[in-house]
This record gives sequence, structure tokens and C-alpha cells, in this order.
Amino acid sequence: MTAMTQSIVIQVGQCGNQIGCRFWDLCLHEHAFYNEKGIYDDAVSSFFRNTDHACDIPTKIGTNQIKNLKARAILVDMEEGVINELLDGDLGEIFDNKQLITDVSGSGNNWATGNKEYGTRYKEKILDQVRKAAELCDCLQCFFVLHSMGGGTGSGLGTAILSLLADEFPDVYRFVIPVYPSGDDDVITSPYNSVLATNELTEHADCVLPINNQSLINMCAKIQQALPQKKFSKSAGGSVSSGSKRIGSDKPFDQMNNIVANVMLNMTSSARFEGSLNVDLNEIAMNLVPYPKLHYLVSSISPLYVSKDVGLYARRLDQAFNDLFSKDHQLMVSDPQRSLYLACALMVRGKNVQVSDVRHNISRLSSNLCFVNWNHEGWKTGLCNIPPVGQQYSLLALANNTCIRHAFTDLRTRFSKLYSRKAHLHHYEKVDGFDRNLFSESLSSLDNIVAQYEELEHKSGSGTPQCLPRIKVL
Amino acid sequence: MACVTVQLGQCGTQLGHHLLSSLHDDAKHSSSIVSSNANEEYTNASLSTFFQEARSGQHEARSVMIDMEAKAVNCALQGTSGKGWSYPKEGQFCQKSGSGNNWSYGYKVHAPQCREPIMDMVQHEVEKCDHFGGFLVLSSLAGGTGSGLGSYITGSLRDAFPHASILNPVVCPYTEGEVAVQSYNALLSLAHTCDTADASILLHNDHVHRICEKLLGIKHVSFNDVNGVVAKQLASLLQPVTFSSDGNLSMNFRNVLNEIVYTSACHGQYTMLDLKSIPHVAQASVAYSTFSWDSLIKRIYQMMITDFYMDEGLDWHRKLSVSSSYNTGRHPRYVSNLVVMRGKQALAPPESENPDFQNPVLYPAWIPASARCPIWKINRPFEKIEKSVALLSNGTSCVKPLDDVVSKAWQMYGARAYLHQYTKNAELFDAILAVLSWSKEGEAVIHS
Repeated sequence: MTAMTQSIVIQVGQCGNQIGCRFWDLCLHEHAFYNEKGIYDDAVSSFFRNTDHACDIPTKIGTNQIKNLKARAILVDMEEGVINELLDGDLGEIFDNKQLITDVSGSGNNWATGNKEYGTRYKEKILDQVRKAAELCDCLQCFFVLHSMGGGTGSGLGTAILSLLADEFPDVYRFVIPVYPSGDDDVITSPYNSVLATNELTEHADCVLPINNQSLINMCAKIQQALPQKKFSKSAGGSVSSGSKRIGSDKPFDQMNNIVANVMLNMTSSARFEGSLNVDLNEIAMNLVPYPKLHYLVSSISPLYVSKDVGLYARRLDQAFNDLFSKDHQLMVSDPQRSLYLACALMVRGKNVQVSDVRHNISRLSSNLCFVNWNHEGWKTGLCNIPPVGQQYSLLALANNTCIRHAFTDLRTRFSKLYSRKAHLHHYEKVDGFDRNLFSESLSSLDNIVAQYEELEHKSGSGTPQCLPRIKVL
Repeated sequence: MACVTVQLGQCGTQLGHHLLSSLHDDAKHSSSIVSSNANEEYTNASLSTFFQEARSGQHEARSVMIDMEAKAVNCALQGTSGKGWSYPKEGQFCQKSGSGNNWSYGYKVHAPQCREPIMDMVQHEVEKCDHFGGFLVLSSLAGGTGSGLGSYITGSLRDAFPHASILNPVVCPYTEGEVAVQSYNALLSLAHTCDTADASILLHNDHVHRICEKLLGIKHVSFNDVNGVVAKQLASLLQPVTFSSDGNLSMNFRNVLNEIVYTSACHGQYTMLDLKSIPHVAQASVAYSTFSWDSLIKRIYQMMITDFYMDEGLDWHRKLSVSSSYNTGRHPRYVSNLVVMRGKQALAPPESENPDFQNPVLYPAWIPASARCPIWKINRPFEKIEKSVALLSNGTSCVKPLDDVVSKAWQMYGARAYLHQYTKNAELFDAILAVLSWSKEGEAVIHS
């Protein structure tokens, strides 16, 4: 019996699996580093299960010691390449065959294929695996679903899985970390896929942390610029890569994916490790989602780092707090400082960061940030004692900010370009179970979200806050 | 008379731990100012109230710790090693998943499920007391467990122990949010506890944080520092005294909670108390600090008539005059005050011009002079501080903070924000109304 809650990670498609792979690598590393005795404890149990009762965890990666730990993960891809490579790597041993779902034919960058065709065909198999994974948890609290939005498998099947989870496990929180394609994405149908998938996220997720490919690219470029050439030399190549051998490896996507993995680690750290102000995962949705559908959170991280020794370090803690709100550090191409905050979580890791540092910085930064008039103090703060491996401290902000609407508006423009010419529609329409109306439904759902954010901005941004007259007690 | 401490949620657990440490340290500290007999009597009186002697000779806190997550509880349990006291072996109740900062989750989901085992633990702890006096229920207002489960459990305690005194020290979060939905949680919690607890002491993180920075000179204030100060304030109120203004009190059989409730919450409608204390001295400079009763009394008096939480930055120009009234916004009004003086010569401070704590301007006419401001005294100092004073007031001090909370909740409610997270909207609205009507009615009656 453990005293903590557990989470299950469901990684779908090439992108989801690559991010997942980096996450498991870093997560294992983190626990191995802090778990000096190598004993299976509550903190480890949140993402790993122990398959035998000898209760030891490996203290080194790369040797043959990973025997007893299995990741609480389900790996789904409709191609075999990425997952096979993952299983062949060092991390292969933390997954077993019962937690894999693969096919050979791919989804052809078609959301309808992933969502309707594979979603129906693999429904029972997926549910069966999720149920089994859930049974192995003492107290299942969260699902983390990782996938891309532009392709077919991740966006289609990933969102199909999400709605299965919503039906079957209504009480378990559903966090989705989707990667949105950049504007110059080479998948021609990616705007379609993204819009269709976003509709599903709006309907079925509790919290979505959208990540933009472009910001990951920018961040890596920024780190690269600031570093001596040697450490980053090979990252310029553009080939698709997957699976990894070790931390700080040379593969280009690994650097980007590490950033996402770090967000996940930091976000869950306060639930796994001790601190003077704990943040349980269920508190995130509670504090950051004032209206059920406005659950898109822009994340930012500071300092920027991709691994233990590759990163940009702020000179002072205050500088790191500044960075957290600057444009360069957002995982979505957006500028929250120029938009309206509905609420913001500030999660701090590090032994030497105290509540006074957080208070001091909040009051310092608040004057530059615009909060909605009914939530001027809409902060949620957390303090975790344990920093990431190799760091002094690390800051993560999760912001419910109206700037997300710009990203959605851009997406809509790209969607309309295709849709107005009815381009590629027949690929979707020929898939069984796909209803043409889904396009217009998804589009109006997206418009609705944009409009809601706009309205909030409009109401709050008109200068003087409209004060609601107080009820009078007679 | 024994007192059972109920520590709820992360904040309650941490604060309770600091409080018990503080009580224990102070009780064990032997002062050269009073005789060894007096020291011993004090030690016994204090320890028998909050602790019981275990067979090992160690002291075991009369405590029940409840959190929906185990981490804070485990920290507290580990934190007693080598300190000479410990928690009772079976006095901790944890679940796996927290209340998610949601009052209704704590109150409606966790509480009904956990009520029975928790009340069994409490019952067990109460049965260990020879003379049971009451409960000290510690929690915060911001989160879900402390506020939600806390208000439910307080109600259950009231049902199961109708004659016990229940005193709730509650921690008000930093106004620049610790939790975005803290005003909702605080309101729901206050609306539910005001009917069941005998009195609540509102403790403000903002105030204590300033005290840490300004008076203790701490650059990087941590939650440990904040909790440490609050714990000392509470301990200096709760520790034994020998003399009250209306006669002798025997230390040993004193029911401290009962007396606090009796003196401070004399009117059933006013149960929100405010606690101030001086001096706050950094540990390192205690040895070099001297205090005179004259100056301490003058300062606490000034803090009382200006309603300010520390003795730095006080408005010394403000004076009470016969003509000044609350309505002109010049000074606060009180239903009652309680002054606790601890330290050298407290029983008979050298002649000085004592300010008039009972000044009729400060109180409504219906409060008899003798009930306005009792003074409790003891010659033995609190910890190593030669002289100290605490002031527990029941009056308009709580109106401003409550009003702020109501305003925020009302704005949020008007925008219909976060309502889907709470099960019943109507309930939230009722809570806003309840707290609002209290602070309004409260002002009205106080001014009569």
C-alpha cells in the first residue's frame, strides 16, 4: 500500500512516444538520483509500479539493473518504427508487451483515420489495457495524454482515447499535452487535424497544456546560441529521430522533447516530493480553470534547460522570475504579458527558494501583468524542496491567459484557407463514421473559445473595472 | 484540564507542529526569574494540558493529525525526533488524494467518508484525558482539506462533545493568493464554522510575514518562520497564568480554552477574534534585549486603539477622546479584550501610568466595565523573553478582512467563475450572504 496517488501516461503517435520516451528517461533519472537507498517508495510509485517485491530501483541507467520497475504507461502508435526503436533502447525494459498497441499501416496524416477507424478498431484493446493499468494503481488520480495535433494517429487516435477515458474514468483527471504544428508545417492537412482534435480537447480534457513546435525550436536555438558550439553541434540536422540512448544525447528532437518532459516533471514534482507548500495535481485544474471549457494553460519554464548541463541560467533568482513571463520562455508562441490573465500557477522547485522570494516576485511582477478584474490575486503557488537533477532551482508557470486565442485564430486562418477550397475533404469523408458536419462543428467550437476569451478581455480591459454593486443586507 | 489539538490539512499540521513544539519548549525551559517550585508547577500545568506522559517518560502530544495527503504528516512525525516529545502512535489520519483546494470536495466527499475513523481517533484521544477541557482545531481557510473537512469535523466535534469548548485558530492566506479560489473556500468555511466553533482566532499570513521581515530581520522568510511566529503568539496566550483581574486562578485546574471562550466570545454572535503580541525578538538578540512594562503596555494599548498588528510603524498620534466615535473612523470598537502579561514582575509592575484598556469609548454601552478587558498575569516569562504581552480582541478588527474576502468572492461570483467546481452554487451564495450579514449586523450591534 502506498500513501500517494498515481498517474498513467498514455503516449500516442510518433511525437507522443518521443516525448514520452524523454519523460521516462528523465523521470527515472530524477528518482534514481534522489532515491539514494534504491528503495521503491511512494514518490517512485506515482509513475512506476514495482513488479517484484525485492523493492529496489536501479541507481544507474544503462546497466542491466532495470528489472523490477515498469512505467505506468501505455504506448500507442499505428506504425511500428518509433515504438520498436524505443523498446530496443535502454528504456525498453521499463515497458512490457502488455502495454503496447501498434499497427503497421499508419494513419496517413488523417484525423478521421486515427479517430474513427483506429478509434473503433482498437477501442476494446485500449480500454482493456487502461483498465489493467488502472487496477495496478492504488489510487489513480491523473491521466497524462501526450500526442501531436498535426498528424493522424496522435491527433485522431489520441483524442479518441481521451473521450474513452472521459466515459470510463470520469473521476480521474485528464491532462493533455498536445504539440501543435508550426505555421510552416509540411503536413498539408495539419490545420484540419488540429482543429478537429482541438474540438475533442475542449470537450473531454480537464486541462490542456498546448505546446507549440515553433517555440520549442526557438528555445533550442536560443540555448544553442548562448552555448559554446561543441555541446550542441549536432543538433542542426533536421532528420526525424526517435528513441534515445542517454541523457544529453545528440538527437535534435530529444532536445526539444526534453523541454516538454521537464514541464511534466516540474508540474508533478510537488505531488511526488515534499515541500512547504504542496500542490496536488487536482489543485491545478481547480485553481486555473474558472470556466469548464477555458482549460488551456500556457506553460513557461525558467531557467531554460534541456538536460543537466545544457541550458541557460539566469544570474539571479529575480531574473529567472522575469524570464518566466517573457515571450521567449513560453511553450506556446505567445505573449501573456500583453494579454489578460484569468489565473496563474507558479510552481517552484528548489531547497533555497522560500515563500518570501515568491511573495516578493509576485508583488514585483504583478504591476506588469494584467489579471481579470474578478481575480486580481489569481495566483496559485507551490513550493517543492527538491530541485531538478543538476539545477539549483526551477520555476514553472501555468497560465490561463487570453493570449491563447491568437494561436487559435492563426490556426483558424490556416484551416479556412484549405476549407474554403474544400481541399482534401474527400480523404476525410471516405472514412467510415466520419460525418462531414464535424468540420463545421469543430470550427464553431474553436470560434466559441476564441469569443469567450475575447469577451473576457473586452469586459476586463475597458480600463476601469466594472464593480458589481454589492448585495445589501437589509 | 486537558486540551486536544486537532491539526487539519497541510497548514494545520505544520502550524500545530510548531505550536506543540513551542508549548513544549516553553514548558521545559526553566526560568531563573521565578522559584524552582513555581517553574515546576508551570511545567506540570502546561504539559498536562497539551501532552500526556508516556511510559518512557517522553511526552506525547494530545493531538489528532488529519490530512488527505501523507507528506506533511510524515514530516511532522519525523520532526519530533530528539525533541523530547512525540505524537501518539495512532493519532494520524491520511488519505492518498488531497481535496484539490476545493472546499466542497473536502466537505462533501472526503468528510462523510472519513468522519467515522477520525471521530474514533478523537474519542480515543479524549478518553486518555483525566479532565477533558476542549479542542483546539487548527486549519487554514484557503485550501480544501483544512477548510472543507475542517468545518465538517468541527461540526461533528460539536455534536459529539456538546459541552467541550472549541477554539479554532484559522490561518488566513496571503491576500496575493496562495490559492486562486481562496475567497470562496474561506467564506464557505467561515460560514460553516461560525455556528459550531465557540470562537475562531483569525491569523493573517500577511501580517506575520511583515513581522518576520521587519521585526525579526529575516531576509528569506519561509513558512517555518511564519508558523514559528504564529505558534509563539498562540502559545503565549494558551500557557498557564496565575492571576486574573477578578481573582485567583489555580494553574492546574484551569480550563484555558473555556476561559478564553468565556472572556472573549461572550456574545454568541461575535466569535471572530484577533490576536496581537509583543515583543517579537530574533532568537539571537534575546539575550541583549530589555523591556519595561511601561513601554510594552503603552505599545500594546496603541496597537489596540489603532488596530495595528505590530509595534513598528504604529500611529502614535492617534488618541482616544470622549467625542471620537467609531463612525468617524477614528478607532475600532470591541466587545471584549483580553490582555495576557508574562514575565518579571508582571503581577505587580512598577508604578506606571497605565493606559485605560477599559475606556468606555472602545466598547458598546451594554458591556459592563468588569467584562471589558480582563488582564491575566504570571511572573514567569514566556521562553527566554523577559517580558511579553499578548492581546486577544473581539471587535471590529475582523470586519475589514472579512469584508475584503466577501468583496472578492462577490466579484468572482458575479463573473460566475469557478462555479462548476463547486457542487451547489446556491450554497456558495448562501455563504457569501451569511458572512456579509454577520459583518454588517456585527458592526450595527457593536455600535449600539
